[in-house]
Amino acid sequence: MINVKNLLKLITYQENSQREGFVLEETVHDHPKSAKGESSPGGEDSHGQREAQAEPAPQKKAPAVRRAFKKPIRPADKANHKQKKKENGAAGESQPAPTSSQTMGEPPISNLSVSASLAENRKIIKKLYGLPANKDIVVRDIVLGTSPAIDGFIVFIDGLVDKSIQNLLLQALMLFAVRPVPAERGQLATYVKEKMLPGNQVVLKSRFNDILNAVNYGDTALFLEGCAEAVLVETKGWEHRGVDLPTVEQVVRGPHEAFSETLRTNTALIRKIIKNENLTTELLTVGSRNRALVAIMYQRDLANPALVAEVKRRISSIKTDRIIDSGMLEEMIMDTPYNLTPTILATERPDRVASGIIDGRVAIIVDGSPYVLLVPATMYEMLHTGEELYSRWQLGTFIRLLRALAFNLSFLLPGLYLAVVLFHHEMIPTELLLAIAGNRERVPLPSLVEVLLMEISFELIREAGLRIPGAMGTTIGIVGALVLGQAAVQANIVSPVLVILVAVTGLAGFAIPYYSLAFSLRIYRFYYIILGATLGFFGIACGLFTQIVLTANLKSFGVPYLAPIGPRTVPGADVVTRLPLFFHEKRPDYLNPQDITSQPDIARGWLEPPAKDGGKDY
Amino acid sequence: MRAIKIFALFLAVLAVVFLTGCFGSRETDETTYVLAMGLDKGEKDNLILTVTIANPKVIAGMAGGGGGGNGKGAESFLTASVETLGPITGLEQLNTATSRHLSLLHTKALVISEELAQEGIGKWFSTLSRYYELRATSFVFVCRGKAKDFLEKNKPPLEISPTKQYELIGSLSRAHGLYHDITFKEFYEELKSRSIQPSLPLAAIHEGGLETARPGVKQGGELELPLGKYIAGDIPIAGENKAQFYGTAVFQKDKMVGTISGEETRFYLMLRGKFETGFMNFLDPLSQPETLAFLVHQARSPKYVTRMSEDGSVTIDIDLYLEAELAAMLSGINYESPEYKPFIEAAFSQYVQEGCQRLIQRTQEEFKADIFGFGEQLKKHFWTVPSWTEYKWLERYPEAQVNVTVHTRVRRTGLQLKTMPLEGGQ
Amino acid sequence: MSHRQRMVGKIIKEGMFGPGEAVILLAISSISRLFLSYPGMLFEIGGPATWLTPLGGLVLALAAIFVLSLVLKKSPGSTIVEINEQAFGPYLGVAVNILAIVMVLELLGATYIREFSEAMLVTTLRFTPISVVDAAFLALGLLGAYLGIEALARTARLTYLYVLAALLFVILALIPFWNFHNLLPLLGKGPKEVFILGSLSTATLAELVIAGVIIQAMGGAEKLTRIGYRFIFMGFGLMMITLLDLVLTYNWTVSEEFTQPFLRLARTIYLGRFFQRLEAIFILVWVVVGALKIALLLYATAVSLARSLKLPDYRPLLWPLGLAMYILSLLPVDMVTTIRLDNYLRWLLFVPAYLLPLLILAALWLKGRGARAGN
Repeated sequence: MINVKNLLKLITYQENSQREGFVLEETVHDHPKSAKGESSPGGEDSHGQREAQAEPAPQKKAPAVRRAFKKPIRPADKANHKQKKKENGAAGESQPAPTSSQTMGEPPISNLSVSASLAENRKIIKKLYGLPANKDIVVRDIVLGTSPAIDGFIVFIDGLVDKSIQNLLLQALMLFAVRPVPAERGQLATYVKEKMLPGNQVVLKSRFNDILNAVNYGDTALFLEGCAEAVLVETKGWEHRGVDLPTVEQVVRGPHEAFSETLRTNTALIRKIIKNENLTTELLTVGSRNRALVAIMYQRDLANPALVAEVKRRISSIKTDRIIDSGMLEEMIMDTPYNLTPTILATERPDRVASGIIDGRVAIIVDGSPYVLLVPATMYEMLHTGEELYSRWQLGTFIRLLRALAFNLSFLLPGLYLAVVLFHHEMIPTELLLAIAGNRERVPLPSLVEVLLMEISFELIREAGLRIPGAMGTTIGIVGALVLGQAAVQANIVSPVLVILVAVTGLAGFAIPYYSLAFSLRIYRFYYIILGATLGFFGIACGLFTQIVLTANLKSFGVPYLAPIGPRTVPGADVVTRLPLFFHEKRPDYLNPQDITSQPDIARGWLEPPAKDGGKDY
Repeated sequence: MRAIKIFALFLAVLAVVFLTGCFGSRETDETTYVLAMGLDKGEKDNLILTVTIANPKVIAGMAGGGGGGNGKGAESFLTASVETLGPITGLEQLNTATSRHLSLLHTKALVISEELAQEGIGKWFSTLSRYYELRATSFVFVCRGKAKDFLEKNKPPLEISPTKQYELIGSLSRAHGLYHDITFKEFYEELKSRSIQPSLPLAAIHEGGLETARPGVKQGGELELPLGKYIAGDIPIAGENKAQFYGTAVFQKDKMVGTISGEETRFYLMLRGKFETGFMNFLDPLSQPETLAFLVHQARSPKYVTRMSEDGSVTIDIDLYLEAELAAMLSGINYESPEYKPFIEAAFSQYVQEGCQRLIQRTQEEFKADIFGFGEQLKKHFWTVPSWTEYKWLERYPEAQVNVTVHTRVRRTGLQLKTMPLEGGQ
Repeated sequence: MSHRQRMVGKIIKEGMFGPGEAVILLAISSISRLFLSYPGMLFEIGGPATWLTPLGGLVLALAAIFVLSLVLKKSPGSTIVEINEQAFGPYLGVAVNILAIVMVLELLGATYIREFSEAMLVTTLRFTPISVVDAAFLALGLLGAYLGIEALARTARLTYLYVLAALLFVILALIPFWNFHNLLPLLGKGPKEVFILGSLSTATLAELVIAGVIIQAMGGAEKLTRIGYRFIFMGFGLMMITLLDLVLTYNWTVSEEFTQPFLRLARTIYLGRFFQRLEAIFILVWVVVGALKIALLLYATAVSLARSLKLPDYRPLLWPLGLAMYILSLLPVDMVTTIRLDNYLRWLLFVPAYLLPLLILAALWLKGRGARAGN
């Protein structure tokens, strides 16, 4: 029943008493460095500024300064930059990203070392991990079954540890500890490590930094009463994808294993192929917050030590928040990130990495990424697959020549078509020209627009095909291409010649094995389309010259990008044509390895005439 | 920051400069392609220019869908003419009447009428050689009558576009040698050369059907085989396509001075060493007036021996080497056997020799033009260009003494090795 | 082969490349004049014997390389610019450098930009204003010169196969048109014209001067003779083959008339109904060769100017020199004037390529004699 009150409520203004939607405002804690004491904002500061008081009360916002364009600071400028900063004093020029997760004002906790008191350790662990809110971290108190009983607790992250191994260890500690303990508590940790724990990797650490790193990665930390060291046991075991088929680099002949996301699996896959004691793996950490492990693998007796040193130098000097995939690392350590062409090779096949390591290259494996980087890389490497090596040399040469043609077609074909159709009518035979002209009579668009339209639709189809889930993916790709093309021709929006052209160009692009290179060629294609439509063959020739000169100037970790043809080093047996395997006597010279010979002159021993004494009995 | 702005502005200006009008780019649907060009002597002005232009809609339709089988509604090419001052001027004038830009990039044939050729075509060729769109590899013809009529009536029924016809005609000439194909480049070179005079193939439209046939040998005609005596336009063919190519026009410098028939063209080609194959008839030596036919081809290039005396008079001895295959015989005599073979070889050599000598005489007396290129052979007697230029071979040609010897060999006799006489009957 | 940078006399940092690449770079650069109207001019001199004219030029160029190597060996580690100063003293040396080397190279660069742009206009872009094409060539040259001589040498190495293949294709595809009687009369317009005047016209290569300037990047004076002989043989050999082809295909009265004989050759290709009209493909080759040449000239000009003025780096000089080249290239009024200017410049090239090394040798010998007499 409607009574007057409700009616009045209906027609009068009611203030909205519900909470407004959540708005992420800035608080004073967002810019700790501005709390350092700069009072007034300088003209170059990014984002709005707040006064640097530590009050949580609502502040009076300083008028938002127009966002100034900030140049990325180059290392060469940095010296001047620091100079200027000293001169400006309080004019808060912001520095590159904050280095670590250290909070301001207090000495970092993680620098502390383990104390002998168990309660103290427990407190520190609680503070470091934000317990008890952080439910992933488990702290389990145990009592060692020694006599006298010793208190302790273990810390681990649930989900990162292998429960069966842990149970084994706990059993060993709690149930099967029968030996007497040494009286001195200081030696307790060593005693536990050597005599009581059956884990296969046990380390003693005394700084919380190392303990945190270990526990964060799946180890279990054991703290003992009265011992100023913690025992770290390796108990890694988490859910991961197994060794799978390669998704992008498939071959017909050759192994079908691909890297997965776990670092140890990847290094193991490479070790399975190169069973050599000189194969060295060094570990580094990148990314200040996600602290990803990076492994560098190389052959100690082959790789140029300067190269290895350079790789390590570049990786360890990266200061950034996160490195999640090897692609991000690649971009950080590239020589020329502004050039379209990729200069580092990323592959998901262990056999390719192994081949590269034996050549003298260095492999960079990033934890969490199934793509392994190989440096240095030349353009010809990016156009090779293992298929040519594993098949016979005639097949390999044929495939390579085909691929060279595909490489050229994939970025030149639409530009050439436009140049011929717009400027150089005399180049095509008369009948062909009249056929093309006749078909173009019905199309209302100018040639350039037609080509751009078809190219963009093709790119859309390609992108969409990648993102469509599951079973619909391939169908939509085929249907989309066919139907779009056919319908466009029927509707007289494009001419049939163009559909064929764009399809051939796309196919040629797919024939290039390295995805990044194919992508950059896709982008070059658009430049050539514009050049061909404005200046004809002259434009395309200009574009070609520019591209050749710029590419010839590239360097990949000190090696010229177009070696061994750009600068002519020793002629390789495996660049465009592939000579039979028994002629591959030298490694690529531009890598300057320590040992250049990979095969003696006669690799096939069975060709030599048997020895005079009748020969060995095989 | 300012630098970035200035640079961006500069790039924008550059882009504008490059993209305004895209200088010179022309879409295919803005262009009309001229396939053949004809030059006539004009009544009121210098020239009548006729062009054959392609109709791409119809051509694409015919080639692709196959729908244009019977529907002759639209032709695959159109013709237009204009009376004008010069070739390129004419094109500009025609441009005012068509909706598209005329382009000479695919002009395959240049047809010059007889009248215009007799006046002299040197002055037009300067234009045509210089103009970018014309190519040196297009073919040149002289046509009897008006070039306008020729281009209008030349409708090859089997071809989609006339260009194919002109291209194929070139390759056909190698198959029978009754006319030869000259490209613009060769014609222009021969025009400017001091050692040879130019010649061009003859073309014409034939309206008469079978009526223009001349009586053969048996019907009381001349004892000479009239077969070769036709020139273009006279051959009695009745059919859909009226265009004929037969014979050669002889030029002295840039003026046309006469024509030679198809058979004479063959002799001309043999003397130049360009004859490839042909089917030649001659009178049977043992049973006139029957005829024999050989499939002839030139085995080796002719051998030239030139002698020059002190006062500059010249003797040239030419040896022609021909190989033949016995192809047809109307008399039934067993010529394949070794006793009779030398007869026909000698008879054929005699026939060709007489024909060549008559042709040479005709060029020396009637035309006074050395179309055979004997001057090229004489050049080796001179060391430097000034001495050759002073010799003035082309004017001395009529006094030169040329002797031709022909060597024929019958190599094969076709599928039959023997001819048995017919038995029985009355 | 490591590609280290070398500080030469603490003046300029240049890259380094090996003798193989040097030969190819200079040879490709020296055949660029084949694509312009230069062969037409040779036809006026030689007539049917045009293909013999480079023979004398070959001999003269070999002699020039020999003299140049003698000069450069006097002071290893420096280029001809520094030796000039040593020979003529500081003031006269700088003046000679700038007038004889820098200015001549700059004028040559301007002429080449103009001629290549004209060739483009005649061939394809008939309605484009020449300033646009000029600017495009200039931009390419600037890019190449800025990236350094190493990049140019590598580019030459990468593209020389295609250039040679295109040349060979043009030559071989015209075999059906060859008429060996075009070679007669053998001695052309007279032995004196052919051999003496012809040699003098073909002997002046810009590469002789460029080789003197970039000698340090090529590996020093010891390698000059080897590099020099090889690239001269290659360049002149290709020129003779192309001229031979021209004579055989078109008789000489007609060849004289062509604006660009090589273009005419390319337009004549007719291998059946399908393979005709291929000259547009040669545009690709021309542009690459032309851009290489212009970049090389610009680089040599900038480096020689930097060395004579003792500047630490040549790159800041590129933009003003390039702009000057662009403006100079637009000065000639029409194409005929351009070709005449080109002829005139060809004679001017005698000074830095032939006279200058001889004068330097003489000056150094006089100085040496003076020093010995003084002792």
